[in-house]
Amino acid sequence: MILLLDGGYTSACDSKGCLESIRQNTDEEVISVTIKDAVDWNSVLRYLEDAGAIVLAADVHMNSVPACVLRFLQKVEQAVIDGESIGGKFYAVLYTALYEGEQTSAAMEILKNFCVHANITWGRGLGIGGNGIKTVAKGGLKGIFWKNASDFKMRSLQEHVMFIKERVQGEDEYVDPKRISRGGYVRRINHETKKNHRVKIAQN
Amino acid sequence: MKVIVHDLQEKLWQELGMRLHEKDIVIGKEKNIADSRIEELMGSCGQLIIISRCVYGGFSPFIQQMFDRRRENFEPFLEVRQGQSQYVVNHENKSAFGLICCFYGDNITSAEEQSARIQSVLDGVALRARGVKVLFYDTADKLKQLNNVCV
Repeated sequence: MILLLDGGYTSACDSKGCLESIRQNTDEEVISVTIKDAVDWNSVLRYLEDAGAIVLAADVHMNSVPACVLRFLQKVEQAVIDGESIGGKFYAVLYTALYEGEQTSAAMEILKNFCVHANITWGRGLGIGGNGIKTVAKGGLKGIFWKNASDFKMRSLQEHVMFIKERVQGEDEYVDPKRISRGGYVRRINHETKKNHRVKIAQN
Repeated sequence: MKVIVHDLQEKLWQELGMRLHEKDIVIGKEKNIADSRIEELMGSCGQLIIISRCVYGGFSPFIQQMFDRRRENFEPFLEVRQGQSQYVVNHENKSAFGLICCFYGDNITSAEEQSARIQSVLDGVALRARGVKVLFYDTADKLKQLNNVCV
């Protein structure tokens, strides 16, 4: 069984896409748990014990995973100290709205340190940059361009799922949306952010 | 003026006996602030001091939550700085305030220390601090030494 921990905090995290990719590329049962402050802890512990692979999907801000994810990891560590045994390997998929996937590497190290504390074997990390793209995908020619531009992460995700499926360790990978320039990406995201702000202000 | 953000229990914080000036602002678990004010405060301080338990080589959930809240309501804009994309910093104090990240906790491993150093420097770059100082203390009691570091 594969356990997907959904630690998404903002729209930059595409945990749904991650879940879809795992489901499409494996025949195994996949259980998804959303990390929030109130979780059914007994079920979570059972899943953690039974899982052959634990996959954390989360977004990164200020070089770390969200606070709710940190609290969750601390609880897992405490459960291990209290005698719980977690045999599954730990895989991470970290998203950032910044262009460079490499900007998730500090948060990846935090997760590796957690694994050492909780005595869980580290599997592999995937850091995906430019994940603001999906929020700007729309119809027409422009939409097709942006959809194509966001395809870069599908290939990396599929490869990552192969590691998860086979329960093997691998070198961490960081990917950027290479088909769009950094400047073009920033301009487009800012354009959309401006529009979103206007909508929110109007709604409020 | 300095802004101190800490995750200590109030009693422990009081015991540290930090020398504070009239205009200094302290944000702790008992004295929280409005969502957007952290950025506003950074715009006016000379030093931003973050005192945090070292959790897996990063800030504690309480401190991280402060940063998370900045983007809860409004996604920030992006800009390209030194060849990398970064979030736009709205405060006017760019490159004028010093960031001091002070981590405490027993059994901080060398890997965690390394991670905490990297995260602090990267956060300093993201917040557009003038410089970053990273300190480690293995007991909360030793945090008293911070009085010699903060102006």
